[in-house]
Amino acid sequence: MRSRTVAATSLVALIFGVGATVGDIGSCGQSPEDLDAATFASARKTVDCERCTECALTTERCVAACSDAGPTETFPPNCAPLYQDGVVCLRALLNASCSDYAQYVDDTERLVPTECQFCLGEAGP
Amino acid sequence: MKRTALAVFAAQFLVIASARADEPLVPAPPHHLPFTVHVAGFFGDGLRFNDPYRLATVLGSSAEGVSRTASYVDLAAAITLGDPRGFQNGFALHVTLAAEGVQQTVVTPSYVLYRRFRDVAAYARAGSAIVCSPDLTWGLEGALGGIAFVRAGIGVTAEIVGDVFYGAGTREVSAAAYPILSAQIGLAVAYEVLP
Repeated sequence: MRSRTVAATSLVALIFGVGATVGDIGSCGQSPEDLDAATFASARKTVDCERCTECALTTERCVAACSDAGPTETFPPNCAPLYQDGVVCLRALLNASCSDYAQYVDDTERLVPTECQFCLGEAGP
Repeated sequence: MKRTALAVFAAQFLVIASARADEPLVPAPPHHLPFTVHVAGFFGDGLRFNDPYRLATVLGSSAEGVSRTASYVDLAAAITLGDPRGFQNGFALHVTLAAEGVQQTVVTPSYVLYRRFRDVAAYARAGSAIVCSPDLTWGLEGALGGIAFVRAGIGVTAEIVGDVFYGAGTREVSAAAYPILSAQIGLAVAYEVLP
């Protein structure tokens, strides 16, 4: 659990630390690695809580994101995203406007940014 | 006889030396190349022809097909050498900043071939683009541009830019290639320096 927390914190720190216009394509030579579901869920929870607080959003997802409970989301079966998928998704969330973010955490009609649709066809993250 | 000749020679030498000391020093004529300094600012947008990570903004039905890049601001400086009435070769440095979405900075040093015809100019660029953020990577860039001068050295400029960037690997390829076609317009200032 501690190692997952460290990995999630590192992932978030990496994204905050770096900050075109081809877009967020990663580094040439970066080999594809699988994205760990627990690490991503924890990082996503951290980002959700931060953006909900920043944008003064109080949806159920925001409340859950800022609670002490651990993340419960996992990738659906047959979905095996890459580490870069997770980085691209989290950076897109971090750079979204508050009006867009309100749609991403909406309780009834939640939108998923295309960058986070790496399990398209499955129940996305 | 010899003494008389020596005395005459010495007198002549002193007169010449004295005359030279009185002449002002004239610097050698300069042989520097004429050159032109250019600065420009652009605003642009582009199309991305490969999008394995579904980057915004997806166009069409497939998230991994053609997509629109973030709009951007491009600041450029260049120096071109040679006769301003003919072709000039030079060096340009472009700094590109994304104006929306994920913050991104791209620095592009490039070779420039430039030609001005009275109120218009045309140029071609070729260089290597260095993506500085959010991750360090690189690409190749080529561009064709033109300037319509509305004042002696001030003009409206436009460029068509083609790039191929290389990014993180996917399950299919070790380094994904991203062809980009961009268009940008802006203002340019050219200052000719003649020797």
